[in-house]
Formats: sequence, C-alpha cells, structure tokens
Amino acid sequence: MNEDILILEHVQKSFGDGDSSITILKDISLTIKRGEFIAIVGPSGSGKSTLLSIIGALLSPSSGKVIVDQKDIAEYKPSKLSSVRKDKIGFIFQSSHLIPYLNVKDQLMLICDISRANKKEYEKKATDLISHLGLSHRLKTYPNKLSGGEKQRVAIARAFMNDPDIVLADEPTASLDSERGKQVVEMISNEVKSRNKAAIMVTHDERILHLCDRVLRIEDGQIFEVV
Amino acid sequence: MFLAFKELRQSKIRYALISVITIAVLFLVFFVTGLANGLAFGDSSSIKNIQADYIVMNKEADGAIIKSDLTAKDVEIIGEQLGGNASPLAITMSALERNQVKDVDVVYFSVDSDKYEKINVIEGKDISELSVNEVIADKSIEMFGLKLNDQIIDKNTGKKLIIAGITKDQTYSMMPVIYADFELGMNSLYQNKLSYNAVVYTGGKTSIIGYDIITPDDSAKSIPGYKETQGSLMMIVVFLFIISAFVSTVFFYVITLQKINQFGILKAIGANTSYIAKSIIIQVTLITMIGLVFSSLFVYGMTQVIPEGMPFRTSPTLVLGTAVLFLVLNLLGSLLSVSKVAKIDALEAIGRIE
Ligand SMILES: Nc1ncnc2c1ncn2[C@@H]1O[C@H](COP(=O)(O)OP(=O)(O)OP(=O)(O)O)[C@@H](O)[C@H]1O
Ligand SMILES: [Mg+2]
Repeated sequence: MNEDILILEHVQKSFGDGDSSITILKDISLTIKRGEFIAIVGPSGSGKSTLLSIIGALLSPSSGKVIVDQKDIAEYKPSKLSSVRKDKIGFIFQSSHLIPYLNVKDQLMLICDISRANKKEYEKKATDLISHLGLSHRLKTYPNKLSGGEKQRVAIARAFMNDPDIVLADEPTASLDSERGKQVVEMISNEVKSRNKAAIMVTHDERILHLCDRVLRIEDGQIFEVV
Repeated sequence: MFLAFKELRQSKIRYALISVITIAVLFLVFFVTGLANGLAFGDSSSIKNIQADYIVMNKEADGAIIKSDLTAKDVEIIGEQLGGNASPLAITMSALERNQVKDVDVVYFSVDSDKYEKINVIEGKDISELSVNEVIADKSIEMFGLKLNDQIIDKNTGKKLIIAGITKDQTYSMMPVIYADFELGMNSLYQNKLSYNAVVYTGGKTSIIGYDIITPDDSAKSIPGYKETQGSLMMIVVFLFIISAFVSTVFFYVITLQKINQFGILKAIGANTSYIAKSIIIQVTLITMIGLVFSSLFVYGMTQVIPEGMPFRTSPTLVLGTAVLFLVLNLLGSLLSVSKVAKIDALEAIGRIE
C-alpha cells in the first residue's frame, strides 16, 4: 500500500478572470502520509479554506496536481468529484451544516443511504461514533434542539461514517469550549492513528497544535512547515 | 427513499396542505370529466348505439339525424340503392301520460321491426318479436316507476302501448328512447304525411348521390349542442389539469429553492444529483398518489349519494387514464426542480465563509 495518501504538486488557484483575477494560492506542494494528522494555520483570508476545498474535491485548482490515493483529481468532472467525496473524503465544515429534518442518528445513516452501504454495519458504526462523542442521550434529537458544540460533534461523527481516507476539518473546534475542543481533536487524532488515515485541520487554536504531527502555515499564497 | 420520507414526516403540515390542494383539484377533475362523460352519454347514447353500420340522411342535416328530413319517396330511392338490409328511422319527441304525476318525456325511434338489427334487450322481447302495440323502452324509464310489461299511454295519440322489452344505453337528450314499429304511426305525430329522419343499414360504406352517409359515432358528435357542451367541459378539464400541474410544480420548485443549502451539503458529502432528484421525484409521486387515491375515493363516495337522474358517469378506464395523465404532468413539472438541483454548486451552497 502506498504510504502517500495525498500529494499536491505546484497547486495554484486564482479567482475571477482577466485583469480582476486574484491569485490566492500561488505554488503549493505538499505530501501527506497515512496516519498523519496535520494542522494548517495562517491569517484570515490567506486561503486555508480554499486549499481544503481543493483537497476535498469541492474545488478544482487553476493548475497543478492533486493526487488523492494515487489518482490525480485536478481535472475531474463534477460527477466524478462527487464520488471522490463520497468514498474518500470526510468533511467537517466551519459550521456544522446538518440536515434540519434528520435526527442525530439519521444524520449519520444518511451517509449509509448515499453510499448504498450495509445498513446493519453502519448502524453499529453510527451508535459507536455517537457514544464516543458523548451524544448517546441525543440519538433522536433534531439539529434545532442541539447546542452549537453538539451539532459540531455530530458533524464530526458524520465525517467518519464513510470510512474516508482523508478527513478535512475547517476550524472544527471554533464552537466548542476548550475541554470539548481538545477532546474532539484527540478523537480525530485517535481515529487517524488507529485506522491509518490522514487528517487535515485548519485551526486558530494554538492550544491544540501539540496534538498534531505537523503544523503548516499559509502566507502570501505559499505554504511553510512550522517547526 | 430515506431522505424523502424523513422529510415528509418532519414537515407534515407543509405536505398535508399541498396534499389537500391536490385532492381538491383532482376531485374537481374527476367530477367534471365524469359529468362531461355523463352528459355526452345521455345526449347521444341512442345514436351511438343505433344497430347499424351507416346512417343515410339528407345533406342539409350536416350529420345530425334530428335535422334530417326524408320523404317516403327519398326512403324508397335509398332503399332501392341499398337493397335488403335497410330500415328507415324516424325520431319523434313525445310524452307519456301518467295518473296524477308529471308526464314522462320520451323519444320514439320508429323503425321497420322486420329489417332493423337486434337491439340487445336486457329483458323481454327483441325488436323482431314485437306484436301490435308493443314497444321496447330504455332502462332509464324505470326511474319513472315504469317496468317491463307495464302499459303506457302516449300523450299525443292516446294510444295504449305495452313495454315488451327493456334495453339499455339508449337515451337521447337525457330522455329515454322507445323503439316502436312504423305501424304505430309515431312518425306522423306532427304532420299528416309520413316523415322519416334517416335510413340505417348494415354493410359497407357506399355513396348515394344527394345524400350523406356517416357512421353512428360521427352522427352522435353532430347532435345539436353536443360539441358545444363537450367543448366547454373539456376546456374546464384541461384548465384544471394545467392549474394543478402548475400548482404542484411551483410548490416543489419553491421548496427546492428553499433547500438549496441542504442540497449543497448533500452534494458536499458525496451525494450526486440523481440521489437528490430521486428524493424529489419520490415526494412528487407520493403526494400525487395520495391525491389520486383520496379524490377517487371521494368521487366514488359521491356517486353513491347523487340522485339517479344526474348525468354523471365514470369508468375505471376514465379514472385510470386521468390519473396517469395527471401523474405524468406532475412528474414533468418536477423536472424543473431537478434541473435546479443539477445546477447547485456544493461549495457555493454551503457558504464557505461564515
Ligand atoms: N469564489 C470566490 N471568488 C472570489 N474570491 C474568493 C472566492 N472564494 C474565496 N475567495 C477569496 O479567497 C481568499 C481566501 O479565502 P479563504 O476562505 O480560503 O480564507 P481562509 O484562510 O479560510 O480565511 P478564514 O481564516 O477567515 O476562514 C479570500 O480573500 C476570499 O475573499
Ligand atoms: Mg476559512
């Protein structure tokens, strides 16, 4: 099995066209191995979310290669990108983005339905994840009755449901108190280690950086390793 | 399935409302089609069910038997051209006299009982078996308390007649038809000479100079007022169809617009357009089905309570055809929502920056 789950080669991304175009990411190259948990930091507007969207097959780069699990997805058509997201990526968005008419358990079972997976197996997975995140008593609760932190924990559980190769988290701890935040990051870290996955997390929270294997910093469209 | 049903369960009121609208509109659709059908039937069933392949009448009638007028000489000419299998037909409006109660309006179809084809009576004697003063009446005459072997008195001639046979689906302008032989002279009620409306015959299509020859079905459409009634009822039905398809389309489209963000999330976590489209189509189908089932139940319930004389007539084929057409229209409408879903960009929809 190839160890490098994600490779970016000279990724460049600009928005707009012609004269008004601005280049957010200038030349990003990086390699991430299975089992690695990576943090990305950087000033607001530096392109952290943009980079995450490119890795997460939500956005195509203007140029460069994005190799996920040995396949370059940079030129993929939208329909192919959505199946990459379905099979290989787990998302935790800046805000939780839950479906309003599904209760906590169904939020997770939705992934099972989308992937046409075995229901029994996923049901077990869902209850395990929910109890891991301390939400067992909220199994049948709808999002409008959950606190911001609880919603985010459901979103985290959802990201792990499809057994992704890469988990992407955009400020997952922003709405959690520091204790819960730390717990969540530990959980992501555990999951990454035990299942040999990769995770990339954008964060502003200095206190959780020690839980990550590497810290990368984006500035002026370039990426640097922080030692 | 998963999404479609979970959502229906969570937004009960919203979907209950659209179901009620669908049921109401469909009820109207079924009602008006039933009415159109019933009226058409009551107006013309006797003409459609003339036991012959073709009807010969004069050119001025434009296909409407009642407007055609043939003299004994005409009948003779036509009869010579056609040979044996032809019977003249005369249509006369009249009434039956009854004791103490209102007269019954009826229409006499006078024919040559030896030449006219079997009528398919449901009770009693057929046309060739009639003896003097015997007639065959349509079943709808039973609404007036008259039945097989009853004596009836014709108001104009005072003649006493016996109902020797009962047939069905023989009404003209909502009135029961009475088949009689020319011997009874019903075709000279208003004139002193014999007059006829048409000659009917079984056999292939021919042409006779100076006369029109058309089928019973075509002649039914030419009954004065028939096309006008059917046309306006048809127009109502068509409009109801358009309105209901439109309401359902707009409803689902607006809901789709409201859910663009959700659909964006779904796309972001790997659902493709067809997954989302399926859930919309399931919902449209379900709501339409609910509408169809309940409205046809209501229409059925209504047929049990409406008065017998009401010209309402519906059949499983008519209901089923209407239902299928309605479902197809609604599904076509839902394509508008689906096309919107196809255009949703996951990234834009989830709103990348808070
Ligand atoms: N679709 C777009 N069109 C034009 N400009 C865009 C688009 N998306 C992002 N940008 C710009 O790209 C820059 C980087 O945005 P991005 O969201 O990646 O920043 P970020 O590092 O995640 O910031 P924050 O820490 O505030 O979340 C911003 O200046 C933003 O305005
Ligand atoms: Mg961001």
